[in-house]
Amino acid sequence: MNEMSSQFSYDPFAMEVLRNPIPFYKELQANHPCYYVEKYDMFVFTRFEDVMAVLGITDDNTFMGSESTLPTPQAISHRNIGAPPVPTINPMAPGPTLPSPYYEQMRLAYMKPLRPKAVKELDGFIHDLVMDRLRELLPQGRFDFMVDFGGMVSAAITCKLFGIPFEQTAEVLDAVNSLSIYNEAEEKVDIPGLFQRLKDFIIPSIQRRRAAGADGALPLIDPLINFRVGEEGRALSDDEISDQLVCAFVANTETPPKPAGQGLLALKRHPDQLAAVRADLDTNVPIAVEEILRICTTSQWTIRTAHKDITVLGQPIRAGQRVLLSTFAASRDEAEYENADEFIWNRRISRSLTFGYGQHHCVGNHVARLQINIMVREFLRHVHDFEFDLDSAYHSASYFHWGYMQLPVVIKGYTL
Amino acid sequence: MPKIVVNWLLCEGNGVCTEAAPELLAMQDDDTLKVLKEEFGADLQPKADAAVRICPKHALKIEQD
Repeated sequence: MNEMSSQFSYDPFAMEVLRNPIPFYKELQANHPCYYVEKYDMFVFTRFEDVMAVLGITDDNTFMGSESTLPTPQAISHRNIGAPPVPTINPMAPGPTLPSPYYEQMRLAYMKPLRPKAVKELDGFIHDLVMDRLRELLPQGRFDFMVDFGGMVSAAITCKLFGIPFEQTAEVLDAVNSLSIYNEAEEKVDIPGLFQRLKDFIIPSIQRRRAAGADGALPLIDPLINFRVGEEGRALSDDEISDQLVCAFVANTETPPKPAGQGLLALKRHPDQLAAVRADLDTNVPIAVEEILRICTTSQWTIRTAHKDITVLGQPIRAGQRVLLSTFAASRDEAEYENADEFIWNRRISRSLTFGYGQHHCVGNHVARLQINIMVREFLRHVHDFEFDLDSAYHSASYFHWGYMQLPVVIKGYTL
Repeated sequence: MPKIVVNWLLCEGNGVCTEAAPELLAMQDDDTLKVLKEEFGADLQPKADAAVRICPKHALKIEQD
């Protein structure tokens, strides 16, 4: 630890960090709670309290995702002179970059189907999806949890929310997976490429909804078609609408399978805990899923750009400088969670930053929880003996999702 | 008297505040939040504080008149 302290340096995009960020987060939390990265003119926060405090600064557009909340290193390798330009309203810039009140207005327009009661109504649909997959996969004896099981469930939920024909489920999953991985040759995650590619799915759906009169039957898209911007009452184009929805498309398709699979891996590594959860799946899986969400999620951090001078936790930050908030690190902060690096299925969790906090708090948190719960519960209900083949698994090196992209599972005993 | 104030741009009906302070806040059938009582007495201060803390959108605050 002393050696690390004296020579310590942290670059969120460095390959060493991409391969395993955890020791870096520990050192940052212990000795550099506000760490300045000169290359990106950026302050890094990793402690739970601090991440929550900074994300809780929601007034007056002091911080914005204006340079993207997940910029490529290339995009922020320059120093801003004062605040950068505010993203445009005409055309309406991609959702995560927008200033208040447009950021919130766009979210409020599309998120009706993601509210708690609306999500509960998806329970039967998701249950059927999971059972269909299990019926097909369990007899095969071996499959990939992320690609064949969880990913296909999540991608089908994306199709339902977006009004995309279910025949395109595999294509949806492949598009998201292939473009959200870290590209080693180009040293980046190609978020702009992702925005472009997903138009192939989202825009036909928007056009179908326009033809159907945007009558509210597809509540993710119809309100955006009917939205009017500002006093002039301008309608949004297909491209603008797509740019508001890409984040939800990617996040729903790609993220939930990861904690689901990695949560089952954590339970396998703790047979006593797995036995305890199995004792009453309906009661215990929801409790275990909260711990799984804490320690088994994969999303690393989010970035904001200051548009005003502000002093944060004693650190003066000038307009144009950036902050990086690591929710991954915060979720393992020993100051918040005793024995933070241990998986404890029924740990009492009073606060969580898994889904972020504040203005950009994950709009899909209810549907994420529901599908993860159903995947984990029904897998355990029907599979009484299984092993993960970690020798054949693929764990990503990425500054975005750090986790298993491929996770083969061998089924040794099941009932259907 | 203190009162609970909702930032309606930020509130997305996550509903966890209604568990912390059911006397003050409730979810409606259309998945939106309803403020049952804006002003509250000292007896409800802890629950009001808990609701403010637990809101994941940072959408609640308490204003003193």
